[in-house]
Amino acid sequence: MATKGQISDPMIDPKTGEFAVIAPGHNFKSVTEKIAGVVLTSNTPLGWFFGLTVASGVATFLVIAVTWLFLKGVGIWGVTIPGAWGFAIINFVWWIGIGHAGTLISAILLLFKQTWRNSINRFAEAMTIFAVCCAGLFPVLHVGRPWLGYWLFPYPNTMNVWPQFRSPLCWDVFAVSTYATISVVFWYIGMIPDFGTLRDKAQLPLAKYVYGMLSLGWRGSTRHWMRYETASLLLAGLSTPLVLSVHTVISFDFAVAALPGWHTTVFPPYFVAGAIYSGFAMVLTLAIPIRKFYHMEDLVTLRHLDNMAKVMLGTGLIVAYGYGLEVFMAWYSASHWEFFMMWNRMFGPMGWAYWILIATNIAIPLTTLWSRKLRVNVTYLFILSLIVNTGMWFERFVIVVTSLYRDFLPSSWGTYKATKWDYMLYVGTLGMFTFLFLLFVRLAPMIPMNEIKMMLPQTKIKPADTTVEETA
Amino acid sequence: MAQVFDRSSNALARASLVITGLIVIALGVALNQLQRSPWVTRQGQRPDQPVPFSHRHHVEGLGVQCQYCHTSVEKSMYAGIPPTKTCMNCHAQIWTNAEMLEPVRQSWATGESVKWTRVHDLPDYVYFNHEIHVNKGIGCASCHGRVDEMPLMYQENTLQMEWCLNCHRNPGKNLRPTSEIYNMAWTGPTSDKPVYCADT
Repeated sequence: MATKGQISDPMIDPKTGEFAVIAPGHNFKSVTEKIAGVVLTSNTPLGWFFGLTVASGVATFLVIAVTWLFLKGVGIWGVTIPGAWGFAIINFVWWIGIGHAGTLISAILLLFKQTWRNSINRFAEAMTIFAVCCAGLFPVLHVGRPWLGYWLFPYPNTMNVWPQFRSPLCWDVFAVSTYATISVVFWYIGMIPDFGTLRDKAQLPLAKYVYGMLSLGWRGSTRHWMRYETASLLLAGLSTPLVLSVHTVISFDFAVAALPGWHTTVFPPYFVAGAIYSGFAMVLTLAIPIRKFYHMEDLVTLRHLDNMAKVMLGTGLIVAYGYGLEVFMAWYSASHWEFFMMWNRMFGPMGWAYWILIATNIAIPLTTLWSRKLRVNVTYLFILSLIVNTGMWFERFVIVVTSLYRDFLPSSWGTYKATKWDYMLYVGTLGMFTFLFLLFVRLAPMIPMNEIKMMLPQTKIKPADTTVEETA
Repeated sequence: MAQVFDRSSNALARASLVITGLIVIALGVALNQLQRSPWVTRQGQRPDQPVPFSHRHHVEGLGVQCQYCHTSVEKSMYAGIPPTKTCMNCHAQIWTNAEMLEPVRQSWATGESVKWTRVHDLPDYVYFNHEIHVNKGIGCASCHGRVDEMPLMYQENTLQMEWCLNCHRNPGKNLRPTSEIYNMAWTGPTSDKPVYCADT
């Protein structure tokens, strides 16, 4: 456990000069005991119960907000006629964006053979799924007649009517439902060997039975592993274009429109970069308290945090480039409306939102993340991750609201003010997300044991003259 | 250590795959039935009417022409249900004491309408027009079935959008000479001559 406080890289193997991903001192057994122990313990930590109580209490807001919404209609929200999209779409894009880092970690980093992904992979995927659950609520809830939402699916019906396949909102349905499905499948396939381990380690008959069912008779034979690896790689190959296209499709919701501030060709890559930016911020928001609470500092090391911060820096710079380009194009286009849109964004009645965005997304993170000292400062990273999550929320707020409330015709200028129901629904999804995440942490292995074990010295090819000690 | 699952689990695991397939099929059938079954479309259901009016008796038995009662069918969007006056044209003197006709006489005496139950009830977002169909060669029987053989009124067709569209996309097969619109027994064009062509 040589991680604490040492900045002069403790992760470099003094013998080989290789970067170690996890702290030294682990063997197969200790990894299993540590990770499976969290799930199989009969001593659930009190903090977990506390967290679950708070989260489910907050999630109740969601139930109340949705019930009232269904009873009264979308008019309880602050949406108006120039600004007919508000919190619902902002939160939808925000949650979907958060999910994207999970797929980046599990798929793209797998394709790049980045072994440091192994420790954070599982709960990043869980984060994806729960974020998509939260996101998926909004497209259903924000329509005036949610009970007719199934009309968005192409199914043979007595009306001879099909969805309009030219609408990006229709693509959203396919993008999000495919994304949710593939993410769940990828997540579940990844957990099968770990469920096998839990089945074998469990003491309670019920736990044995449940994990036995979930592991689908996994025996860990060579043939199993070979197919498992092939399937993982194929799924990673499929998820990678998926993750890029899903947020692209979501950016099309805006970019396809003719509105100044929306009709921009840079949106697809810039939205994806923003998604990964906010997603990594959320991984940090979750990883930092969890590694502390469950004492996982030796598995989720400072090196992981450092790397995640670097990815944030990279994607944050792309996002900053996007902001810069928007401003540049507003001037370069010589379009009166485009120019006004940008001026209004910066100095209009909602200019404060733009400057919060610049401060939280660009000024604070992108100046500080260059420093390695700050990248491995856990407290700083945690605070920063919250700042970036806020900033990315404001990014969507700025894009949605400030483009809508003042557009071509001054006679249709309005304003937007969220009501308490907008806030309740948003806070409620935060509660639901935390609730699901806490259940996941307690019931499933939050770190993939099999992938961690592949990084242990025991799995390395041993030189003929040395013997690696096997501790039982 | 004892095995967690005994041998029978093999059969159960395989069966679960088959059952999943069956559930998917059952869901498909159920969803289709929820859209199309006569129970949903109310085809063939004979709701209670205040007076058990028989189209068979009046049309087939007495030879009353359709427009005698449904007067506005060729002039208006609505074919109209005849007012009590139409009934009383005859029933002021025929079957004057029949128990069955008491609601009609009651209506005549008080001026309250007879509360007929509507059988062909389209939603109000559909603006169906009788006049245009009747004048362009769609006979009563094409949509309403053999009303002259219905002792109690029921809905013959689904009245669903796909049913409307099927005809509007290929109306030829249902067109007839305008002289035959009210001829309930008219048979359609043959396969030799699938579309009726007017002489004029």
